[in-house]
Amino acid sequence: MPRSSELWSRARTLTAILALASLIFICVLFFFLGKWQWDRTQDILDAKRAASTAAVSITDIVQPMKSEDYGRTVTAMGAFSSPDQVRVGSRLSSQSAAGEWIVSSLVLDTGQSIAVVRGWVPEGAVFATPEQQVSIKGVLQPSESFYDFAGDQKGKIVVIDSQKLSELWNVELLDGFIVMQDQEPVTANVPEGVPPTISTGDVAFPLQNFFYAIQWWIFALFAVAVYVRWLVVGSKLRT
Amino acid sequence: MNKIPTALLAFRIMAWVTGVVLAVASVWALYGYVLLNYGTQGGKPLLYSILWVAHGWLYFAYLIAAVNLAFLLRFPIFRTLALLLAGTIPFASFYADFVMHRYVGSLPVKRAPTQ
Repeated sequence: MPRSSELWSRARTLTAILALASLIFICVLFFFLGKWQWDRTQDILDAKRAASTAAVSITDIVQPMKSEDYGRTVTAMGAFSSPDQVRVGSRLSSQSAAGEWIVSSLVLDTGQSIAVVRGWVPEGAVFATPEQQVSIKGVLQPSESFYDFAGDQKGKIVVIDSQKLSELWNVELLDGFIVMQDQEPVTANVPEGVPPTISTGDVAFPLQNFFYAIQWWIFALFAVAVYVRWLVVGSKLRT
Repeated sequence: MNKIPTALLAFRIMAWVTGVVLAVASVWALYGYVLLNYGTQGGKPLLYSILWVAHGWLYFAYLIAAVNLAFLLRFPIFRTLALLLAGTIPFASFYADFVMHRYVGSLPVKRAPTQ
């Protein structure tokens, strides 16, 4: 290591001052370039989140559904098919009370059908299906695959699986099912709403922008390191 | 102690690794933006993003190797900057590697790698 007085005298040469000025310029520039990429990261996340939480019509979701469709808020218009209703045993309410969920087939205006979890009812409670045309809002869920081994009992199902419900009701169903959160118009037969198992998962992280932000800042530090090393090597040369 | 051959080898490795990744990513970008939908939000595949991020980190290693070599060879500032920037221009690092080898080869024998 050169002595500090040598470093100091070298730092005061014209070249070193110009180098320092460039270094400061580079650091400021790189800091803001990094900040820009950082803000881009946040903006992209916000935009994607806003887009994924906006409700879409179930008919606008392309079949077969993709994993990123699950957890999305969807709207659907149609009428519940009254014979096609089934109870799911041993399900909790949003307050963790024991009971059952009611799953109905909603026949959409387009003629397609989808399974809808209308909500929770106490065990054995009688719940008729509303007759009129309804407009519902809910969260799209993938078919359940757990408890598959349990088997169905006493007219109740265990697993909400569109494939199995399709066989049970003998109708063609869209993939997955909707956990209903809102029904218009409100009828006498709306069971207590339940929280969806899967709510909107986080959107894809803008990896590229995030790492660019970090890299710009690291490059700024690297420039400082190079300047210091250059100063030290140069001083050694002079002595 | 002669550190130049090692530094030159490190630079050669980084110049080629960084250069290949940059060349692939650049050609991919050209193809993606011109013929595919990379200009739109979410149009890019994950691997494409990873490749660019990888170039960023590889370039950092390239910088270290290049600065090390430039110091050993006592390069002036602008030649050093040119060497550093070569890692950001597609295919330029291959040329930089060629130039550096030619330059080191032309140095007096005591600095050249011993056979």
